[in-house]
Amino acid sequence: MSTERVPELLIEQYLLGELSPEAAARVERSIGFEERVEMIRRDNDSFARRYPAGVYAARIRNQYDAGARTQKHARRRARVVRVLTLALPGAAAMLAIGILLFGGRGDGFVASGDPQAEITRLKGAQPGISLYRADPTVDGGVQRLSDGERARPGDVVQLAYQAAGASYGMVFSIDGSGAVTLHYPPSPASSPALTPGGEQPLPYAYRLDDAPRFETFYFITSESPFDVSTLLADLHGQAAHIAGDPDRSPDLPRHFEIRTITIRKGE
Amino acid sequence: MAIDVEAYYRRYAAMVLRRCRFMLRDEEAALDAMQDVFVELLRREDDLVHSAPSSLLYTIATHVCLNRLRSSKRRPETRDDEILLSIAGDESPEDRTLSSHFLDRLFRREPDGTRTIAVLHYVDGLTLEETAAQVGLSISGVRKRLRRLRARSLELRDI
Repeated sequence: MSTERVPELLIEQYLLGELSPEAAARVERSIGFEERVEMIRRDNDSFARRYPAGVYAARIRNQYDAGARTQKHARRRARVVRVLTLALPGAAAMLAIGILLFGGRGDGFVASGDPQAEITRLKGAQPGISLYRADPTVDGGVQRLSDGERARPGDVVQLAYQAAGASYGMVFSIDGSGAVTLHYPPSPASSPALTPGGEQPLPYAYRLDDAPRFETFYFITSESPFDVSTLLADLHGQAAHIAGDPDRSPDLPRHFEIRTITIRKGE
Repeated sequence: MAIDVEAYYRRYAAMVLRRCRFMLRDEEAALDAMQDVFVELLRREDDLVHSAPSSLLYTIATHVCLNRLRSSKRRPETRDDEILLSIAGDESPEDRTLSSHFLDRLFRREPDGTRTIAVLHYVDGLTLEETAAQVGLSISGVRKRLRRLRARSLELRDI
């Protein structure tokens, strides 16, 4: 028996069988060797019961997959932001101003700063999603798109949601190529808490790409918080089926309410 | 190198959790960090040629926990804790001793790798050779980093 107390890592590696014979012999001679080994073995047993491999390995794989998609999404968002800041500052600003004006015209939207109107709307209103397109040929420069309306690649659009009393929600889209894009919250790690009150334009405009046939925008709401990354991972698994059948709804837990708007792509 | 997550988890996760527990002193935070360690391993799977996964996972766990400690407000409970929190660069202003403040300043300009090396050598008690094997540097590389730390430490003492 030596008087050396070896680092914890060496005890771990001893038990894993990853030490050379010389290093293993050194560990066996160290102070407290048997007690330390016994303690780790007991903890290993407890760990296997409390944190089963089947459950946690799947969580880790989901977390990794969601992160990989987030990076892909972040690249797409980066393109969107570049569009905003470099190429289309005029159109983006026009959209933002236009939505504020459009939102105050009494067709289901409420101008901010009118509490009585807001209370009235919240009592009977339903959560909703709206899509606006910058269009210099129309009055005000902004056109609200209807469900099923046609849009072209390159059109600049902006999303807005109306929580109408719902506390949590998520805005995402699935296009004809099966790509899932998260629009709100800003990242899978963010809280899905919604801003209450009137219509909330998302903080960036979005230029439609050339994905084929359609893009459906979903606004799902819930009264309880949920994990955005888990839900997103699940949606990625369903996206190919939805791309093949645009009328198909995503299969979501029952407590979610879903609102959608679909635009058809092409001339 | 493709990784079978479940097989790795079965073999190494308990060790990783113990490491995270030691550094974070909180079961829930350690469990989160443990999962982050395996996610990080997956991110690196294309580059992995490591023949001793326990060393790699232990080092990743140290790095992940240092990053978490940096943004935490945990107060030190032991002498090792105090050194650990200081190496992590935790900025909690209360109850900081002169020595931990000194370590804050010492590590402020050092790369993350040096923090990990310092934990392995000064807190865990690994020899230079063992530390070098852990982080994949030569012994002279580790010695050089620690020598630079010591030099910086002397500079700060003189200020």
